[in-house]
Amino acid sequence: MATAQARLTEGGSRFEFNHWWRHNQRKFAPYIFIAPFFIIFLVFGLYPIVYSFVLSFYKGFGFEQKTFFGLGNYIHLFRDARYIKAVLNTTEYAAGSLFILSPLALLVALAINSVYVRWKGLYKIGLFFPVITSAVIIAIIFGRVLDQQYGLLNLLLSWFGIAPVAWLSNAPVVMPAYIIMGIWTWLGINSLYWLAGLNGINKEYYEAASIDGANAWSSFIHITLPMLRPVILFVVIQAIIGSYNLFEAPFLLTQGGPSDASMTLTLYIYTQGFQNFNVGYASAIAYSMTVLLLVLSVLNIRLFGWKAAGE
Amino acid sequence: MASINRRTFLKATGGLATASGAWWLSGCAPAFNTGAKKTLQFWAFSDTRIFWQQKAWELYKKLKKPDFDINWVIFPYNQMHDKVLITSQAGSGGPDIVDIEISQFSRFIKGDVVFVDLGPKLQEMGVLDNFYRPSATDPWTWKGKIYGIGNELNTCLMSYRWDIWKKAGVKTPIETWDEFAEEAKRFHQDTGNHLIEQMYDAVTGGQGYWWVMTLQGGGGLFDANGLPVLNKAPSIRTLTYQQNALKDGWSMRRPIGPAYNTALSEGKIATVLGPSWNFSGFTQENIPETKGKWHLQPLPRWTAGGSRTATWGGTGVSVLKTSESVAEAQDFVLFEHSTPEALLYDFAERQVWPTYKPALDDPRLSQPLPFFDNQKVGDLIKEVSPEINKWYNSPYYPETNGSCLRLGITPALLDLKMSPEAALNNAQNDALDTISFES
Repeated sequence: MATAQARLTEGGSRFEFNHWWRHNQRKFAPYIFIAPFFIIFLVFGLYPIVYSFVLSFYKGFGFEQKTFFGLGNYIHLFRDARYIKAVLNTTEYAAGSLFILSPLALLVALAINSVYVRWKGLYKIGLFFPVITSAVIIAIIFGRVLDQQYGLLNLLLSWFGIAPVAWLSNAPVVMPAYIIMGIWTWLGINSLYWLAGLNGINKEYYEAASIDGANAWSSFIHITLPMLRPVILFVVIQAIIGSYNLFEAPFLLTQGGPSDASMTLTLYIYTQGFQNFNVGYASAIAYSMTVLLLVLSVLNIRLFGWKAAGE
Repeated sequence: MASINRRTFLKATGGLATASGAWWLSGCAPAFNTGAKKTLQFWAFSDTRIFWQQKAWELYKKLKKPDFDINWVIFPYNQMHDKVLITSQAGSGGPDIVDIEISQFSRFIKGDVVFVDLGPKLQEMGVLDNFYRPSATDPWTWKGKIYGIGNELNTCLMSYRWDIWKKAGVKTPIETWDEFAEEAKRFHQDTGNHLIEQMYDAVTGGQGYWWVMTLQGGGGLFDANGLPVLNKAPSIRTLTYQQNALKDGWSMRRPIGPAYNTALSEGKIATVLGPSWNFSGFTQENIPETKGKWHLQPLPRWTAGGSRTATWGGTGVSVLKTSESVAEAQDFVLFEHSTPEALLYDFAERQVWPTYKPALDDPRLSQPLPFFDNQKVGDLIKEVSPEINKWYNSPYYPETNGSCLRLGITPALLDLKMSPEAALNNAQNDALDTISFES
């Protein structure tokens, strides 16, 4: 009797649930479909981001044995010569990306976009190849290219009577060596960004300017550059963020040396977090980098983005 | 054909998503045994290194008929050490047994040590004194507890191109480092080449020769308490010797990458210091064309009666505390390290001389070796191995090692005006500052 009663109750609840689901499923189904992304993001994205922020206020070894340290890790950043060196090195690389790579990529894009150049698609594909090449492979290739005795770069320089340079073991030239590597790697994709921007400019502007007597240079200064403002914003921000994430090449080729001459911020985070197991300090460095990137990005938006945003 | 309505589709998709999620998440869960026989996980980073261990396991199975199995998993070097660190912190998902490279060990002894102390079991077996401990246990020992054991003896010798030395009239054997400097000066004057080169930063081999010559001279990175001793007399003496070699022109900085092997092959550099993985492993692998052109001798002494060797590098095997089969794991690890037959597999595969003394006595290890002009290298190793000085490891190995290289060795060997003593003082102070901040 009791069993039959229980079965009836169970059947009733199932009926109620089915009834409720039939009426509400349109409301809930979309959430169920998008839930996997959010669950994964919460567990593997948001949680580590928040937890590392918490960790940045602790000191100790690893994740378990930690004591509250307040702002100690952040204060130590200003006294840590290695951290300052890492910031300077990374900034030097970012400056190379901004002031050498990006203009060079614009020149390449202008050349490809020119009416005199044929087989544009071929160039675009060719330029894109380094982007799909593993950073590890690029590092290995450049280990050979930058070799002091047998490297291609020194061979090239020797044609101009320049003595061999110890690119990877001489402190003053090691970051420029990585800038050269960065140019080779990222020139293509940056050119494609510029090309996309150039293709978006209405040709009628140039025709009108030409009728008014503007030469190529005036057209570039007064039409091309202003119209590229949104692309400039994008290229500059992604160049800065990408540059501040430089890790593989200095890790594989010079391990941050000689004497920290190629120590970058991400490499220093790895060194502190995984080599020294000082995860609190590593987290503080990571957040200092976030703040730095945030400030630089806001500055860029102010410089290049306000008009684009208005448009 | 039956039509699919929206409800059926939703049910099917939901079921599929749940099943896929469960399958995917099962990959995150630690391995467990569903059968009666459990399987121990052994993580390693070198397939050539596990060869002897797998052979040792076959021997173990034959002799002991265990009721467990071992599964070897090989990861890339950094990835494996990082994963062990993370899984040990998580408390699950890691291996039972792991290969730990010497320079990585200190990461695992910060705070609560994640490895099992093998000392009591070694004492119980009565085999501890049968090991050359500076290579077998010192690298994996912290505060008197032995958290790993290594089979690689890594006795350092001086390997030289006898054809080039003979042609140039270089005296053999060379007894002291002062004598070596004199011979090297004359060699450089006569041939324009160098008897030896200097490693000066991470890409040229790190501390390398500095470490070998410093340990040989009674120094090291740490004292018994695990604190840095970078500016002690043996360290300064070695760095001064290396810097003078560059100043006087009879030595050169090591070329980076393949250029170094080319220099060795062409005889522009005619000497290699180090243990068998260097003089035998790397040399045979990278410049096989020099077969028969090498001889070995003990390292020249610093002082009369001083040590003629050191130990450099190595990989140990540790058992994780998180393992559910600690006893079984320990039993196998200590079996493979204290069974001559098992250890000889590594000699056969990689020419590794063992740390276990009874195994080192095996006559097969003293056979003439063709790469070294049929010299009986094993006899030489046996002769000098008791002279390896004791040394200490520390949880602060990466910090101290980094300071030593960044502020001590690299500046002194790149800027020849920099005083080695001042450079090592800087390194010592930096290491102490870092440790003080961390602890």
